[in-house]
Amino acid sequence: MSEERMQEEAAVLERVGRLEREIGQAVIGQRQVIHDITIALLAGGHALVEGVPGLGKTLLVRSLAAAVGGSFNRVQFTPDLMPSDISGHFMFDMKRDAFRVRKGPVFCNFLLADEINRAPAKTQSALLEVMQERQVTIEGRCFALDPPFLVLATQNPIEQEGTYPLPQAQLDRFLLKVFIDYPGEEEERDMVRRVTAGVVGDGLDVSAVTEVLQPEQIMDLQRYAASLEVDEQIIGYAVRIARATREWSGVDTGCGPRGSLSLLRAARANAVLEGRRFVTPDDVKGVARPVLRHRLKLSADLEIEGYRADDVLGDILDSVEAPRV
Amino acid sequence: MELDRLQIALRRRTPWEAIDLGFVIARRWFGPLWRLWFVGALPVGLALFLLGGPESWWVGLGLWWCKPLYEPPLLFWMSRAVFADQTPLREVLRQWPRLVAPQLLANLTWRRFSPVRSFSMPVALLEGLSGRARRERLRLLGRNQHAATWLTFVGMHLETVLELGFFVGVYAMIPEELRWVDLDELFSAPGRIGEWLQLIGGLLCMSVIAPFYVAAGFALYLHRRGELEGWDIEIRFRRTARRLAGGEGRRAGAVLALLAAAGLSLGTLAPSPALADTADTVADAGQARLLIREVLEDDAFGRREEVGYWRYTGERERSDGEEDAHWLWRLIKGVLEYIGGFFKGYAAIGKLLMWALAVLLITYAAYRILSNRGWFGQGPGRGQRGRGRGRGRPAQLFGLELAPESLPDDPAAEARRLAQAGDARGALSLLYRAALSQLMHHNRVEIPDSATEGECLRLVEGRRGGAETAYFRELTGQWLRLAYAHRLPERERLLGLCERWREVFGHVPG
Repeated sequence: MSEERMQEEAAVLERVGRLEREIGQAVIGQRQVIHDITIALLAGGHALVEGVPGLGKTLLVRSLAAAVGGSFNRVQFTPDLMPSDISGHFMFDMKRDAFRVRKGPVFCNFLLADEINRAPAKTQSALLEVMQERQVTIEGRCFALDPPFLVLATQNPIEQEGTYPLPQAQLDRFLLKVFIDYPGEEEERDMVRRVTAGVVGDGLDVSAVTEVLQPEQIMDLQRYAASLEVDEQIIGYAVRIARATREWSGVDTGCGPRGSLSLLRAARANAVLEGRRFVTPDDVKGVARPVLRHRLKLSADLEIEGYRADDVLGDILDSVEAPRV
Repeated sequence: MELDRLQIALRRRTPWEAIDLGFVIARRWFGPLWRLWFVGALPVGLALFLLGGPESWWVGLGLWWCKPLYEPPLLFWMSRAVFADQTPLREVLRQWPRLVAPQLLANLTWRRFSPVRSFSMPVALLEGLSGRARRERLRLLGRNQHAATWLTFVGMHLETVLELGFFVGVYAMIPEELRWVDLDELFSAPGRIGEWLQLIGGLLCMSVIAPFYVAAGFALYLHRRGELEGWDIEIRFRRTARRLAGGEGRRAGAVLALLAAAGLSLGTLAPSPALADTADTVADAGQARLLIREVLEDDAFGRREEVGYWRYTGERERSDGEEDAHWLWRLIKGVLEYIGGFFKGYAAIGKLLMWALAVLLITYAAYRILSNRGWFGQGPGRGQRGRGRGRGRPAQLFGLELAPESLPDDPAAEARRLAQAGDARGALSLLYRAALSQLMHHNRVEIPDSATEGECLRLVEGRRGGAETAYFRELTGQWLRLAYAHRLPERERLLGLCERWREVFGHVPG
């Protein structure tokens, strides 16, 4: 590897480190969530965030957009939301006497799909197709989305009445499922002090976030992450974990091959964030929970006993042997 | 007994149809029956209330227990009503002591829990039998009769359901704003409103169920009597005789004789007052028998036919293993028969319950096997839900042999020799292996076999001092680079690690 190339890589890795710190300037007390979302960004995936309202999900995406210099949109999912409200539609322009495309909010770099489970399956599917294909079809015409494209969908774990839970096949499209929890007392105090100082109203302030990366650089980083060296043993380890979920007692449905693929993609991104040029078993293990937790369907008796997917994954990770080199 | 005046159609029925007939009787005369029951139960309830004082549960229990006090008048009234004689309530009340008093002690004690109470009541009350005669009569009437037990069983449950329904219904009728207490706290609420509601509900529900229960038992009794004594045949004969007596006088004598003969022949099965009446017209039983034979020889009574077939009557040969193979079945059958024979009335229920229990047990066992089939399998993760697996000291970690005897006496010197010979991978592998072995076997750091290199490092950071941690961190870093990035460490750095190994861990691993 040439000296110049190595310097360039070192600079990129340094900027990635700054990306997390910059988002942390605005989003206080959610280090793990920021880390996971950055992994999703570098791995070119999407994230499903679950947490009660008011924990800074919108702020997180706005900060990410500000730190990367990308465009940001937010869609509040409601029961009457139509697919065209997301993707866009053709409309007749009276002045020009012609049809023109009115692009929907999906045309951006960072999309916050707030409370995705409030919209009916038809609208959810429309978004999930866009996430998969990264292009929108309106009246038979395809429009590619500008990369990078990251969807951050949120779910509220409470108030489940009148919601449309995402089916397992749709959940599988998300690279990560991230739990956002209440910040610690110290962090919350710090947040309250910083957010309320000299601010009128409750608008979200991302002015503290400086742009550290360009969208093109994100693409470079994604390519870099995808090209990281992965030993055969690491691949075997990821596959063993994924396969263990299928045979585990108390799991009705384990993850499919997409789970193994996602595990490795996220592990690569994790290695980049750790500043390494190669993937270690720790990278795989570190991302296993957010990557796999939404891909497991626990048996009814396990759920009744109060087990969660994370508990089962913890047991699986404790029993799957680490790679043997 | 005047069968001609019978208000119900007697025909051959199954016991269940007889119960249905009883329900029809109860529905038809529900008003008088209900009033009769209430007139009997209310004074008993009041008396119990006065005796029991504020303990309402005691009153409720007493009311339920004393059912044999207020059910006989219902049966008495019905036994006359089915023969078109609706006794006035006042008359029944006047006879109340005479109806209730016989065998009262037995009715209120050991017979209180008889599952065939409604079916056996007519034997004592209407036939006036007691002691051995009653027992024999009941044995004859109750042969292969299980419907009365089911009647009690179902009636008991219906009564409970009705009571609960009343309880919840009354509570539901209270507007939500006025409810001062939750449903489940109603019993413990001040004023014991729940207990009083239960008492009133119990009284009402018992009064609703009682006419049906008594009438169904009575219908079963009638059905059994009719079956044994051929009442339906007798009624037909009487009607035929009446019809013939009108215009066809010449055949009347023969028919009357036939009727008398039928009465005699049926009379041998069981004594019947009705049949005794008809027997008065018969002068000689021997003549009647001759007459019957003569009549039966007529073509109208069909023909007699003999059919021959082969049937093996010798002993069946049995294989040696057959007896053993069916011992469980015989045991179950024996238990069921024992239970069935123990309480005649309970036999059907006992058998059913045993089967239900067996099915439940088998279903449960199958469910447990299916849900825990992982226990029987091998392979990673099967059935291991608990943590702590592999918490011991593994002999291998990351494919490295960690047992002290598998390592050289001086790993640092051996690693240095390998490094100088150009085998950097072998040298680094040996150093890392020896360090892990040292930490596990001498420093008591527990490393599970699922631990990654990073987790090992964190364990060491948490348990060991600064020098060991710093050395292990560097060693782990070099090892990771070599193992997963295939990058060899610099020679000087590798030699430095060999030198420092001695300082940190000493030179003897075992």
